[in-house]
Amino acid sequence: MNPNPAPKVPVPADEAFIHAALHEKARLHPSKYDETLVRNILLETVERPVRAELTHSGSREDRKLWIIGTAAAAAVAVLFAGIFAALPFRDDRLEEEVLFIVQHGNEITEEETANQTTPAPSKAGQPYRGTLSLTANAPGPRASFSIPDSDLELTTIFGQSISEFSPRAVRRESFHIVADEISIEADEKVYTGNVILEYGALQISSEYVRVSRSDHGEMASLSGTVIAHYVTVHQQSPYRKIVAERLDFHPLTASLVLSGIRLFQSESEPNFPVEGDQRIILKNDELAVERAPADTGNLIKYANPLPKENKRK
Amino acid sequence: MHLVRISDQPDNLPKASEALDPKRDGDFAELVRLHHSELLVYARALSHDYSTACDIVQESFVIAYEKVHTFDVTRDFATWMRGIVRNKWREWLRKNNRYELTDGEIASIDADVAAWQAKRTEGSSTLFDALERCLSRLPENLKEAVYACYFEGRTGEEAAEKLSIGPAALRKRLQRARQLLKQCLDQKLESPSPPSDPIIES
Repeated sequence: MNPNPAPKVPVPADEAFIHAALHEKARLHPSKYDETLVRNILLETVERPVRAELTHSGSREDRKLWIIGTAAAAAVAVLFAGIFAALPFRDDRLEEEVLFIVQHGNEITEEETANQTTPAPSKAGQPYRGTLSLTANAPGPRASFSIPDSDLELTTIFGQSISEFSPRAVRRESFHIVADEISIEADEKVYTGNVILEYGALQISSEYVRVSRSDHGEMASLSGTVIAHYVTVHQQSPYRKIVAERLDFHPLTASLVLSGIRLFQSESEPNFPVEGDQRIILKNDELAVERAPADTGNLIKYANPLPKENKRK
Repeated sequence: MHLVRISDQPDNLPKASEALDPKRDGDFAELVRLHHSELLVYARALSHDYSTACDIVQESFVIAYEKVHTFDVTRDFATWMRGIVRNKWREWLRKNNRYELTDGEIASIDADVAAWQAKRTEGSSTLFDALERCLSRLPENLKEAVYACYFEGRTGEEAAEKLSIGPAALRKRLQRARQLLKQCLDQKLESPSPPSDPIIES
């Protein structure tokens, strides 16, 4: 349903109310309520996560005391969070921090550096006479994820070929997640009920979020380490609001991919052409749109269940 | 915390809005559910734009929540909210250099919304329920025009072509339909159970 259908001609004021009511009724049909709007309002009002507001103290001594007090309070809070996280059921909202560490290559220790021997220089100009192999010796980039149950840290380690270029690059991608319920299913953590994800300047609300716990170390596990369904993404500055059917987070590229776009509002890109079959990719403050790949991978062909004899008849 | 799905709530559930205190979180959430539809229609009537209306209503409720300590419980919450929506709309007008409505026009829209908010507060049927019943009583040619333009999302030209009439005739039918629907809704406001026979065009 087009949310802004015709007619475009402004109507007289005495008809404006009926005109708007017809538009809204058509838009919400068959529901009588705008559930998305109500959910968004509640998320920004009565269900808004409580954030500690930092206050500036006057003197240096006061500030010192304040920092010590805050640190002590934080330590107590972390202790209690750890205790409560270990409990299977709780009545109030559950909070977790999910940290993805994307690591290019292994860090070289001082001992390894000391043991490294430099090969002796060889005479130049000797032609190579062996057979040429077209297969790369170095393994391709590999990645592995693991989520220790204690602190939910996911580590991605690249293979040798990448480490040649960037031996010590480490990037951290942190998600703060608040949800009504958290459960563990096979290789995934599942967050359900008014889930709020905070990732940088983005606040993402959803009803169902899965965090992959795959530790197979295969490239296949790189996609969809965080998958959220029916999401609303809010960004304050520049203002953006995106409602989409699905969100995928890719830790390697640190990009959020939104597909099944239902609504796109943007202060900085007011006329950005986004259609339902396109995907929005958010990376830092940048936004890109691409056409979703044709979904042929899920096509399942079934064999004819009838026996061959019956088929001949 | 448990979010009640709005669609799960029975429509005829009596909601005494006066008994709800917006300073309590649970009551505030109830007031959002109770008033958002009419405020959305109000914001849309003012702004003529769906996404702007959504933003205005959302921002208005956020402001109301932040300033709820200033709300006088003896006052009407719906009236207070309409005032915030109106101010947000004026703010949007200033930023976007859009058309202005006269005070009389705003008052006319305001009165229509206020009447329905009051009725909703009493726990009566929603505006959309009443509108549906009034739609079903429209003469067939007007009903077709309304459905083609509003519900099927056709442009004026497309709707006119579908109904095999000229664009001017379509505009006339829509205008007539809106007038009859307004009359019908006004009757519903006055009487809880109006007759169900078709609306007669005068």
